[in-house]
Amino acid sequence: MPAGLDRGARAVAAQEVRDGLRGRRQLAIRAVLPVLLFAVVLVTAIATRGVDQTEEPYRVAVEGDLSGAREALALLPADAVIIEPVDDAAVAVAGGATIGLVVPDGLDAARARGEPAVIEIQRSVGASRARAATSLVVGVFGDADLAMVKASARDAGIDANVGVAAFDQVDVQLTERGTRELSGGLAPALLTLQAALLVSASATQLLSRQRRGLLTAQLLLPVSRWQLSLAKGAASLVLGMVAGAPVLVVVLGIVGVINATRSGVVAALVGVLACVVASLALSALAAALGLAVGVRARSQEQISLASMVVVVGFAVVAAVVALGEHRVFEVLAVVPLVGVVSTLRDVLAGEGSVVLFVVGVASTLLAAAAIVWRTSRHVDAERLVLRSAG
Amino acid sequence: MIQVEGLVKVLGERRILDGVTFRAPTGAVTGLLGPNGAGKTTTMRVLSTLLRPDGGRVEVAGYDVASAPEDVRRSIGLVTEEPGLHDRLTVREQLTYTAAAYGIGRDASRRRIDHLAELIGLTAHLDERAGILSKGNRQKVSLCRALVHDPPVVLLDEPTSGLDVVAAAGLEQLLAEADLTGGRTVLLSTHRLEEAERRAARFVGIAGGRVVVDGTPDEVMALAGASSFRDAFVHLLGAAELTS
Repeated sequence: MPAGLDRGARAVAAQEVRDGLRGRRQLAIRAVLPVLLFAVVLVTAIATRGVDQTEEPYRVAVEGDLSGAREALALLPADAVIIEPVDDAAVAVAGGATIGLVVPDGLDAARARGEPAVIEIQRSVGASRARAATSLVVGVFGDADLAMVKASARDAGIDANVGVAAFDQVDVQLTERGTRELSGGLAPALLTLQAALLVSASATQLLSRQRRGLLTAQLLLPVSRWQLSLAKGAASLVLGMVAGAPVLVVVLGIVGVINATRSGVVAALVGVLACVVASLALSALAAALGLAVGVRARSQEQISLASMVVVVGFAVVAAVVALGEHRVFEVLAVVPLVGVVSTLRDVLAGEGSVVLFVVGVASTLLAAAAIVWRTSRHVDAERLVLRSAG
Repeated sequence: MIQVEGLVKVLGERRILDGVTFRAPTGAVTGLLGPNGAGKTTTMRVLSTLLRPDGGRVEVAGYDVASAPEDVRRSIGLVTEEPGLHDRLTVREQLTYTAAAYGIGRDASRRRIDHLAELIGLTAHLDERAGILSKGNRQKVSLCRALVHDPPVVLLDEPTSGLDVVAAAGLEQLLAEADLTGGRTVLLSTHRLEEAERRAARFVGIAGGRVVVDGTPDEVMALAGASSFRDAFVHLLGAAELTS
């Protein structure tokens, strides 16, 4: 399985790319459709999270003098809130707690004396469950403590209706770790889904070329079947990257901005570079699968069915590996597709190993090459003749 | 030179070619004739390495199609009924990419393409996209592409099929041009006897996957005892069809 394209194969690939780039309408559709699709997925995900709010109790991480706040915390409804004592509420929120509370020393005693108490609330901005949990906590404590604050203020001759707050609500829980985990899951998921859409496009293009006699004309060139298959796969990859540019730009923007803001320019560049490399590997795998499907399929219906199966497979990997709650085992870096998605997630979350990421990318590229190699054995006129003969 | 000895080809469970043997000499046009389904296209596909032979020996320009398919592909130009063009590319682009695939440099390919386009009458269409060309002109592009690497062997598989009378006559005239096909081994597969009779010096008749006649027009007529080439071929091929 020699690597690289020889001169003849490069000519074939260049011809395919130029022809594909001239089909601007198809390219535009391929570029715009995923953006619309992902917008729908995003809205659906938000709606699903809204439903979750009513079903699962909030995990409230509490930092500080818990023994001195036992009575106050008992005000929170036990069926809606799970109290988790922690050393660092911010880290706990980044690790999955719904919100964090930092309680002052002797909260119960202060409440008994009628003194104002300040409780710091930490949460991830934009997380709908965190907003709902904050409302709940503020509602419960607010009624109790605000009444005491107001009474205390009246005793001191202060207008209790203005300028008194019982809570120091911290809405800046965009910790470095939390935000990087967010982008770490989102970026690989979007790139995986984007790559999956390449399967159908590649397969359809190949079938259409077979029907128009183009494949036969290419089979007459002094290019080996392996090189011809590699050329067609490379052309599909290039066209897929062009069509996927809008999604890639959005993902790179998210990763770049978040990492640059929270972790610095170097981390942002590493994240962006990792996304580009992973996108290439994922698209190469999808292009190879598209080639395999296109060579074997006899009709557009078969292509649609096979592409659907592949897309579902990619979507499952995106949901479980990229967006799943738990990290997958490191050893799975050697598994094509899973490896590149999981290691990209870890790298973007600031927890991954560059070596494992390279292993994940390499395993996926090798799988793509193996599929093209295997497919090249089917790229011949004999099969086409037998197929057309039914 | 094309040499075919005992060629056997089986597709699925059907024996399409059953010991086909013939020779097409250099510098002449050899007609490959036969009714529909006789095995002409299958023979052309084996000669062009699109299909692998299941038996026998086939040499094209001195290369064995089974053991040296890439050398064979370097030595042939094939024109088929379906030209197989990239509709969104211009004629020049198609030809340039084909030349590049054969390893021809940019300057050399430009000169070659301009020369061929002038001979074939495509100069005015070189910068037009293939998708807007007439069927006749598309077939001219196909011919130009088959000759761009100056192959010693040219295979023409029903090149005028599907063309109107004027376009077919124009293409046929081109195929007679010494500048285009002279000095090469040309194998013309067709079911149009008149076309073959006008262009070919030798004929190979196939029916039922076997060669039933191989010779010059005079030899064919003498063998059939007929007064015209057409009658001779109809007689020989018809008899073979009935016995196959």
